[in-house]
Amino acid sequence: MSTAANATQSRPEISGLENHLAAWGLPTTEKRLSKRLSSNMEEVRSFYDAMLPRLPEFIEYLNQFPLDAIPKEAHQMAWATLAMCEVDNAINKWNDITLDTGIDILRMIPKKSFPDRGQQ
Amino acid sequence: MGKIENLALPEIGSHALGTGKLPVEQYVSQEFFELEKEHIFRKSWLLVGRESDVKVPGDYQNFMVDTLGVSVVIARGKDQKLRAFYNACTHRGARLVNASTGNVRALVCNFHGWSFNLEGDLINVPDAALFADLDQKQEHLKPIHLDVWGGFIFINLAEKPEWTLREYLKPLDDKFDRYLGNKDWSWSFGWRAKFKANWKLIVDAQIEGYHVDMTHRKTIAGAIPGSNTAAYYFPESIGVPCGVAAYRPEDVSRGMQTPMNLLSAKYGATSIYTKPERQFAAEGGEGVLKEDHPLWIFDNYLVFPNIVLFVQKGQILIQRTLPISADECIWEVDFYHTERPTSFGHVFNMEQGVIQIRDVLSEDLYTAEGIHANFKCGAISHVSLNKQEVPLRAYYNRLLSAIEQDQAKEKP
Repeated sequence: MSTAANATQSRPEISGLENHLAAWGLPTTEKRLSKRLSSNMEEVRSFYDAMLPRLPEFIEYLNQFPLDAIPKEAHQMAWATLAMCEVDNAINKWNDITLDTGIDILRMIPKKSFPDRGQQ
Repeated sequence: MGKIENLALPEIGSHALGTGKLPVEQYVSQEFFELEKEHIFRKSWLLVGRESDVKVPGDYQNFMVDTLGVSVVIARGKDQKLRAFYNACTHRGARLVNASTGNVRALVCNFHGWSFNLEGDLINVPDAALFADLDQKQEHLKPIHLDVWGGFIFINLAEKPEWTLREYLKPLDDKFDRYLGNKDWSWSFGWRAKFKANWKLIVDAQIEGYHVDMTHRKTIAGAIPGSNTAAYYFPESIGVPCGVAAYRPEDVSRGMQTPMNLLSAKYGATSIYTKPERQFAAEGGEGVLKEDHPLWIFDNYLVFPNIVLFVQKGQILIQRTLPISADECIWEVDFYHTERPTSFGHVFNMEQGVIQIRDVLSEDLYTAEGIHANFKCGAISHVSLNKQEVPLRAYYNRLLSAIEQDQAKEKP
């Protein structure tokens, strides 16, 4: 594991992706889920197609830092990379924004801990 | 690829528990629900927490057994011992704690300020002289039986539990206790949801592999073929009536392995639907993990009445379903891992795993409310079960025998 100071791989070129990174580079899974649910397939596909070929390079770049030392200017890239996980099924399995054979995904409330059962 | 005999899978199921249809009354009858409350939820060992969440003296957790309206406080005493009490001040019955977790020096009632130490003794009564004949020793918090197994906290609301926790959990033995209780496990993520369905319908969906190919046709079908799941049943067990094992297909490219799945598989093992290129570390899994079988992914076990525990290498998945009424329940799922992500690659792998399992669970949960309505309105009075669905028979049998045995015990 190297530190930010001796990172061997320089930050990947992102020109042409700026709009996608800005739109999808959201800091939490919940925000990225909301982004998918409020997008249309054309928008999702455009993001996926633009990102996919660049993803291995982005991950390798981000992977060289300890987690808490990922440079701030690369956070958006990291979050947009994680947003690709959120759109994978929509693109590759459903050809739709939502899964029509599951419960409304927003009914599943993310927990914060094992004992977290929300307001009793 | 190993020799063919190494790849042999266990028997997919069994007709040994019978072949007839089962009635559905136990899902919708209010009378039956009353029997479940009295003879099952008040008498079974119930999983309510994880020991590591109540770590140091003064740590407490408040668990609501919604089924019975029982609020339980689990607290670690100065002597390091975990104890459970009814969350009820012995003065006039107010709740002692309202937050779900916390750390306190004493349990102090917000109503008049009676305070109890973490052993449950009444230690302070404001203006005690106002009481005519108060014997503070008699005002101890009402205790609840508690034991720990596999790092999980179980309670039993019976005055005197019929079985020790270890007797209850057989055939899950000390090897499971050691593996699941390993201090390396830490909570990673989870969800909860409410359903307008009988609680057992949520459990049912997790204890057979027959549904996989159809229910999950838009997510992971093929990655765990229904034919590669095997049903277990343990008729002699008190608290573990059945379970399911899952194996990968021999052809690992089966199922839709998207570019995202394959990329994430390079960095971790969180997603169980793609063969990972690296494995989780997992200490002490001998006799628990079936690592001698190259295709084995997980075993799950129904911990009666309401827990489905999935045991894997480096990952625990635990589903809990508690009834609120005969027609409504709370479902929770939680994941534990032996490793915390330290690199972005691992975070990426975990994000892919989290989202894949979330979407798969949303499919598992999709049918319960419709089934419940169909049972309730009388459209369906009986259900058919095949040999792969034998765990549902084992579950049903245990449900009835648990009630009958407890009723018999109460007769003079």
